[in-house]
Amino acid sequence: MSTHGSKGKFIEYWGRGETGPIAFQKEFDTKIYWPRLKELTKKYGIEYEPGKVVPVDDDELDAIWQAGRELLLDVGILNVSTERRITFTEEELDNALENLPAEVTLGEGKDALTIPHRGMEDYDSGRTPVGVMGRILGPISDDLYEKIALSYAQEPLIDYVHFQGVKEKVNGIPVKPGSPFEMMAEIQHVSTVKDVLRRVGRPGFPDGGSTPVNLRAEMAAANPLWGVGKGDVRHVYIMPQLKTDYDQMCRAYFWHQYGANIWGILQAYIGGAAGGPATSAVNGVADLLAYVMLYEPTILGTWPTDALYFSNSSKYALYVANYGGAAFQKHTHFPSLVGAAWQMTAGIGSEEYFWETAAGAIGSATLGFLVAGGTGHQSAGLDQACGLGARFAAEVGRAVGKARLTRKQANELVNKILPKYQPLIDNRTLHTRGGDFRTVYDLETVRPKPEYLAIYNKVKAELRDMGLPIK
Amino acid sequence: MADILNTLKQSILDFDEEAAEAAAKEAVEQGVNPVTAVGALADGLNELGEAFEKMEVFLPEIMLASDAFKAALAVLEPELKKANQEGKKSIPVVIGTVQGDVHQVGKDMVATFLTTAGFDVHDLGVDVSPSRFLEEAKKYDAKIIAAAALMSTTRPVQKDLLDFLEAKGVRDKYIVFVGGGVVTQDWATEIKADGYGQDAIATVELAKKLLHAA
Repeated sequence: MSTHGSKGKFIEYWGRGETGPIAFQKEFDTKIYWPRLKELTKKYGIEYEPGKVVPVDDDELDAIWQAGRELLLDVGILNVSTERRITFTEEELDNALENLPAEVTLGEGKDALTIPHRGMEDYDSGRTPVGVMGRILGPISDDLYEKIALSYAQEPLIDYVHFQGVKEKVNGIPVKPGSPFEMMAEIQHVSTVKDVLRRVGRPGFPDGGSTPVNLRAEMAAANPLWGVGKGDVRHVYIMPQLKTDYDQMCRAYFWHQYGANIWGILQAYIGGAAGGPATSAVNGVADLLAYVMLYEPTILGTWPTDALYFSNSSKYALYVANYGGAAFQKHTHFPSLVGAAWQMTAGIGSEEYFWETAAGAIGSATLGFLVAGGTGHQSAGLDQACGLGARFAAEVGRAVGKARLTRKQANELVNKILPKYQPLIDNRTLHTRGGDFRTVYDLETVRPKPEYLAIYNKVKAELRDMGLPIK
Repeated sequence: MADILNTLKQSILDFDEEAAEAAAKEAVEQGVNPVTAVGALADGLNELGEAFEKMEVFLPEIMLASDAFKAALAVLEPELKKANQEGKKSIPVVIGTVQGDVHQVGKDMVATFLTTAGFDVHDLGVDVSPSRFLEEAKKYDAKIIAAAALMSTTRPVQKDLLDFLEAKGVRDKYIVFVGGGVVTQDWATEIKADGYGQDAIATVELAKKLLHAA
């Protein structure tokens, strides 16, 4: 457990949601948030241009940082429950940033992972990447639930996993938010994950899975003997764009008093309410700062997506993740920022899935972020998660460290990779590629099938041809 | 007359509610055919829809333009009735994110595209129960009900909506679309929805196609 940032000040800040300036949601979106975001992006001359994926110009990052910081200070964050804005002073923001820790720890005992702050192109302060996050997301079949979790737990390069696969039914009854079946599903889910982790000898391995919609269901598994541990992490949501509510504050409060950790994300919908890539990057900095002020997160991430066609790995999404994340990373000593892409657009059985993973991990490892991988098919398809994808993200990150890639080299490399899948985002068909866990893993040994390894090895060979020394 | 029609269209392109209302009043004073005036406003919305797709304008601006359109329409509607020229009425749609789910961006995108495509969109927001979908659909005499779900755990509520319509004996009255991050064509087929939109553009195309077929 790591506490930091505004340390206990959150009670005062949350209380401002009862006294702050009134703003109805639509008024906030259209007349307060959006005009100021546009003005600040213009004022600081922030522009997206094709080819910008990994930032090479520090001045641009400084501009995004300043604009994002001013955005939060000027408009605050809307508490949707009370329809009032929570605002902060510059001094409060500076104090919270100064008070951030230089490292955090996830997990417990020998499986604990300590993550230090890492600068851009810093290959001499410990291993690269600084950490590896695997993700399981979307619906998972009952008969595969344990096997998919095992496929991640048995990968030595993975440090932390969001075991967040969704059980759709309990005893044949649909699992709906707020129902007792959601509580039952969460108890089954957490028990299964903890059992799998014990079986691979990693009982203290950190789990960041936040599956239930309803807090009561999450609370049902809050049991230090068999359930959520103090080294585990749960999600608190800052909704797009710059909004939160009492439900999220209740989540944060519950997990803080329990002693577990909080994770949150920069969540810009590019083309939607956050505007284009440039305004979205500015919004991203404001999102991350809002988390620091309100929720004292142990781990943060970059999760921008194209609004029109759901993709975490598009050229726009990578720009926002890398520029917004690097601006935040450069100006704070926050230690644990997970880079793009958190979920791939293509199915896990496709070559494109590995290319998306590589494009994200190259930028993330170069910029000092944790790398991420595992989920495919926009996290919408059934059984679209496997450990090999997250292992691949780790291997790409390690190769970046071995090559000591400069940001310029990383940008060039990602620009060579993007044509492998971006055209399928442009025509909105990338999600149709690839198979699922049943088609790519041997269900008896829980190992990737030879034909799946052939795809993975083919992409690795091509990466080596491009100059990345991946094993 | 061309000037006032340009002013009407420009008020939409400028997302300017006051200008749109003033231009509509001016059009009425000048005796402009109200159907022509509404057409100029719709041209503005269509143009914004195309720009939106190219990421030249964004959701908050479309929301403001939609307000401007409604303000002008409120001025023009009595004239349309007087002249008995209501013309081709916009197709009413009710849209919302299903009960238990507070995600709104995807739903907002679809609502925006439907608006700019000329549908009369009634956005019910998030966390909408099946009974409320039905009440609002009745109230607006909707032809289409669009229900979004972003999470696997809220997807079953889309089935509840269809079960509910069936149980009330009104299933045939509405075209029901389902969409959202976790929704697939297989799911839509399984629950017997009329259509599935992979994204906002596909949903609008489908709406036009299904209405034409109906």
